[in-house]
Amino acid sequence: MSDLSNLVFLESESGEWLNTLPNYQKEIVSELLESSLPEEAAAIWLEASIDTNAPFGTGNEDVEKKYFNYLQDQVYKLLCGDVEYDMERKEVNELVKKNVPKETIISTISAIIGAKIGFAAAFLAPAIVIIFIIIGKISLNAWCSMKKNTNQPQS
Amino acid sequence: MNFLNIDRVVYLLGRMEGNNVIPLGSCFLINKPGHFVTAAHVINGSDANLVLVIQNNRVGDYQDTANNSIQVLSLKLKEIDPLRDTCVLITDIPNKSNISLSNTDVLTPGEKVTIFGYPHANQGRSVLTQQTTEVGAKILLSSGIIKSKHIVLNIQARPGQSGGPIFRNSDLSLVGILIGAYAPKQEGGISLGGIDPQTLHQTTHAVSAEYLEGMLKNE
Repeated sequence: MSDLSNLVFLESESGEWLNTLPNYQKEIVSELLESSLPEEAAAIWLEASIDTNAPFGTGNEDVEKKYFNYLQDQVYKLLCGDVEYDMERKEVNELVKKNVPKETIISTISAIIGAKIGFAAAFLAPAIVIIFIIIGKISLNAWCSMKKNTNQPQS
Repeated sequence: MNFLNIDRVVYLLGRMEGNNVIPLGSCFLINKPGHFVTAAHVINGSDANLVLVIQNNRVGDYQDTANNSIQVLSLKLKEIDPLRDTCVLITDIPNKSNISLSNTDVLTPGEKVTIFGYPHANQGRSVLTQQTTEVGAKILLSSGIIKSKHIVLNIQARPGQSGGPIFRNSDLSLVGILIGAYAPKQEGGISLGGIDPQTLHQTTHAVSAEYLEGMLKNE
C-alpha cells in the first residue's frame, strides 16, 4: 500500500480540492458534480464533445475517447504503490510533508501523470480533482483496494 | 484592428513528428503577449510537440502553395475548457495583436462576419483563407449538461479551420471561434476519401468568444 495512505491531505473536503482550480474550471466541474456522479463528471470533462457538431481539427476525432479509466489507472498506480511511479511518489510525498498548498499538489500530480500519458496538466487537473474528491469520501486505502479488485482479471 | 496584417495574427497549428509538422488546425494571437487561442479539440488535451507554423502567407498576395519553407515556435497549453471547446496557448514572445474581445451577444442574424483559417489542412494545404459570410442563427449547443452560446455561419468550412477567429464586420471585434459543422450523431456513418458527406453543407458552428474572458482572468 502507498506510503501516502496516512497523509491527511487526502481527507480534505471536496470544496478544498475544487478551490485548487481556476474559477472557470471550478464553475464547470461544480455544475457537472451537481447533476452527475463524480466518475461521470470526470469522464464528461475528459471526453467532452459538443452535440451535433463535427469538429474541424485535422485529427481522427471520430475515435471514441476512453480517457477517464486510463487516467484513473494512472492515479491508482501513483497513489497505491505501483513501482512505475516510485520516484514520482517520493516527490509528491516531499511536497505533502512540506505542507504546500493543495494547488501545488494538484498541479504536480497533473504534470507527473500528464508527462507519462501525454496530456497537458491543465487538461487533467479538473479530472484529478474529481478523483481526489472520490477518494476523500471513502479513504485512500478503501479506494486502492476497490481499484485493485476492479483491475484484477476475472477468472 | 484591421485585416492588413492578419497573417501575423492567424497561424497554422501543428504537432512535430520527427522533422515533420502534422497540421492540427488554426489559431490566432490575442492581445496578450505570446498568447494564442484555438479550439480545445484541435490539440486533444495534449501540448506535446505543439508548434505554431510560421510561413509567408499574406492574404493580399499570391500564396505560393509549393513553398514548403516554414519556421516553428513551440507552444504550451495555459488554459483549457473542453466543454466550450476553447483553449489558450502560450509561447515566450513579446508579440500581441490588437484584437478587441467581444462575444456573440452583440450579433444579430443576418449580420456580416469574417473568418480566417486554414481549410483542408488535414490534406496538407496551408493557405491562409478569408471568408465573409453572415450569421444564420444564434444557438445553444450542449456538451453533457453544459449549454454554451454558439452561432451558425452560413458558409461551408473544412477540417483545419477549427480554432480560426470570427470577426464582426461592423467593428472588427472578435466574436467567436470556429469549431466545426452541424452533423447529427449517428451510428455507422460513411466516409468518402476521408470526407464525411454529412459535413458538406453551409451550417458551420462557432463558439462565442465570451468564454475566453474567464480563462484570461485566471492569469
